[in-house]
Amino acid sequence: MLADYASLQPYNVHACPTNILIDASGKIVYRAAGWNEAALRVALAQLGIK
Amino acid sequence: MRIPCFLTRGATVVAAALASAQAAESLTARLTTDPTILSEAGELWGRLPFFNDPVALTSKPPAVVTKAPVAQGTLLFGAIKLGNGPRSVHLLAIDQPASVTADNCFLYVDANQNGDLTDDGDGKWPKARLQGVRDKAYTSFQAFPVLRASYGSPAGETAHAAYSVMLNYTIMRREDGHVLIYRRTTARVGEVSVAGKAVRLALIENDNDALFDQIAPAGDAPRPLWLMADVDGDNKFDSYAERFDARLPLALGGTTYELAIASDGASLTFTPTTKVPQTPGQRPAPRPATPRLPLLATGGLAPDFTALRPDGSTMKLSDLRGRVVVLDFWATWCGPCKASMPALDQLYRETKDQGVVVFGVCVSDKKSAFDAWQAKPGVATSYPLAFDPTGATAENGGSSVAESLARKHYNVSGIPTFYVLDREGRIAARYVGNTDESKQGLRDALLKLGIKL
Repeated sequence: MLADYASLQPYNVHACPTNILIDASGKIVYRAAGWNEAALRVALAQLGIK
Repeated sequence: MRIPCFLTRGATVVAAALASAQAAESLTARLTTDPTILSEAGELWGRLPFFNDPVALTSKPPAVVTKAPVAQGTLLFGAIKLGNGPRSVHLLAIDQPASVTADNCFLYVDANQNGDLTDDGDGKWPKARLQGVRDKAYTSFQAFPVLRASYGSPAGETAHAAYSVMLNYTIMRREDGHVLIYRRTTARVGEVSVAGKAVRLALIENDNDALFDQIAPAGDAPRPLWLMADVDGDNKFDSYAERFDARLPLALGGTTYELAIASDGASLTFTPTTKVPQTPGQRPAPRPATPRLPLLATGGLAPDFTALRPDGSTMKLSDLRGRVVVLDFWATWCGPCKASMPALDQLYRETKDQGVVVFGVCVSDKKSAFDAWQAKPGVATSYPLAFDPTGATAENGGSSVAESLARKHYNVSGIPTFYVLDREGRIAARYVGNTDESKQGLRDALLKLGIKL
């Protein structure tokens, strides 16, 4: 598990869950340490996802 | 029972509706099979509900098998039926070795229906993958054979069509359990011309028998028969607003029609009716998102709670009153939590003689995982650990994440979460995540409380 954790470090993962939203061009447009459904929905809506 | 609401309206309205129905003409559509539309990468893959059916498997070869493959393990035979004609039954066999890997289980489908199970391909499953973990591990195999749907009667075939199904074979690792299920991945597709405008159609059955019966089989929940109709002409089927129950009247271009469907789904007749059209499905409104509550404010009293110690005794947070407490909410499955532990333990060793205690409360976890951690810790620590008995898994009696003490009393949304409490039990600082900021913050908070580092 620690090895798995190390492999996540390019994404700066320091908490569970960490949500990262990547747009169609591959750009990270949202990240949150800890579950934040309301903010994630807002970020998805900004990408035009219903 | 649906009561047509025109029965409750005035006679004039009924007369007008009848006149309109008589004015409109019947429409017909020819539909062809599309064996990929519901398969992987197909337009409707993953966008509609589906109903799987089991395939009974037996080690006794059916009489019609003229040649069986040389088995590496146990040969299990089964059959699926597509249509109602003389060639509707399709034999298959699975060669299952005693110890299954991703590439030593084989599927033989008698696609050419000659009774010889060895001349239809090499037996390899197109997709195999190991899923699940530990005692719940299973190997899952998938195939999408295109078979003959045969129509007519046992005496003679009147029509046939290429019909794909998805076969899914699952073998449990531990329990020697296996199950073969299948579902249709084919729809009948075509167009109907409504007032000079072509409307794309897809007709989909859910009994997995390639028959487009309009009489729902008996049962409390008969499976639906759907007509997708691209009413808005955007060349896409909306999974909700453009999915109709093909057994009920539907409105198309201002006219209401009833459908007559050939049992093979090859033809569709729309007959005008005065009946009340169905309301197509609505995309379900998204559940309102739960706002994230901020961590508890500094200066407030830390809510008390009771947690289970590894020896079965209980430990209350308030038992630690008079000491500076670093509360760590963690879980055995949480990589960042484990990564934070060596530094946390170091901090504890440095400060415990000054009355500091690190209290590691395992949340959202299985009690068995916490117990296993005692026997073989993922990270060795010397500070006290305890388990949140309200925390989250079915194994612990089915309480929910929302009920976990970390979530409910401390607004924890991610772990590790740290709270530093002063000697009176008030919140002095709090941090989320195993970050440099939280590591430094914990040290700073202790310094402020007069702890020497």
